[in-house]
Amino acid sequence: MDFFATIEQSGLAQWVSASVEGYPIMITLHSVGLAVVAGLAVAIDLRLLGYFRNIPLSSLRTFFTIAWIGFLVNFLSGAALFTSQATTYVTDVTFLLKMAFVLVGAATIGYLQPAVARIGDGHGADSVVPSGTKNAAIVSLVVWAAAIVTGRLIAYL
Amino acid sequence: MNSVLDWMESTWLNSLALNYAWTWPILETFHFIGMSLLIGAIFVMDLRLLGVQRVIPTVTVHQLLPLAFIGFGINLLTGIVFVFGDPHRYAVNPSFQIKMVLIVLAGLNALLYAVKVAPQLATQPPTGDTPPIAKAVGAASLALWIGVICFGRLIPYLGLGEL
Repeated sequence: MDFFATIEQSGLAQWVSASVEGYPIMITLHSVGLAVVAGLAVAIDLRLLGYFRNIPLSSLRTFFTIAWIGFLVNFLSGAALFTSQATTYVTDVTFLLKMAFVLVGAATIGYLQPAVARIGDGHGADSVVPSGTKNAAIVSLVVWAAAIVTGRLIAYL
Repeated sequence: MNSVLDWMESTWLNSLALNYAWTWPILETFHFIGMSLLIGAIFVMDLRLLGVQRVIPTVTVHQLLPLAFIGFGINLLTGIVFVFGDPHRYAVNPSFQIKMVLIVLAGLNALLYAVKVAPQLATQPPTGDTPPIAKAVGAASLALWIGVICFGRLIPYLGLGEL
């Protein structure tokens, strides 16, 4: 626990928890990043599940990249937010659950990105998306929703 | 103005928002989910307007509109409960006011797209580059919606507003 107590004393942690602007800036960045990563993950997942079929699978490449940018924004802003209450968060069940969902969510994007690249260019036929890829898309939808729910509830539980 | 706010405070929506400990957290969670649905759809459509991934046929990107409208609808409904739950503080909150202005501007921008840009795109090759007005509308949409998220999240921090 010493480690987390040390983090909590860091300059960054002090800035986030004690300054007027630190926490609002980080939580705002965290909201924007959330919308980008979860929003694009959902759009990609739905495309893989057979919706929006006029959007070529090959074009998803760009949206995977932007989803990762959203993820990075939230990794960094989330790390900053974590430092401000590190000792509390490490024992918070809701927070740990959220981390698990985010980890699985990131893993599904990491799995889907090369899987979609392998499919190549498919304009119409839903059948070109293998069932394994579709299952991963369903997992992605569920865990990103769960990450949002548990993330929001950290403040309440 | 005050009488409207007082009336809002007397409605069942106000009771719903305040009388149950779980209403606010649950609706907030839905507000974040709605935001994500809206932003996901908006990003794909706006980036195509900006000329990114031209393999996507311009007008058929409208297939994403239901996703955007579902997200917006969820947030309109949950947002209305928030405002009815604390009308006096929202009314005077600068961050909330800016957020509402940005949503109206985003709506007008979408109207401009529907009236002017989409018909123009329909006459052009679907997988080509987009005209400057399309790029401007796409960029404005991205900027406005990101602004909506920022000022929405900043509502608790920018001027709490006196009761």
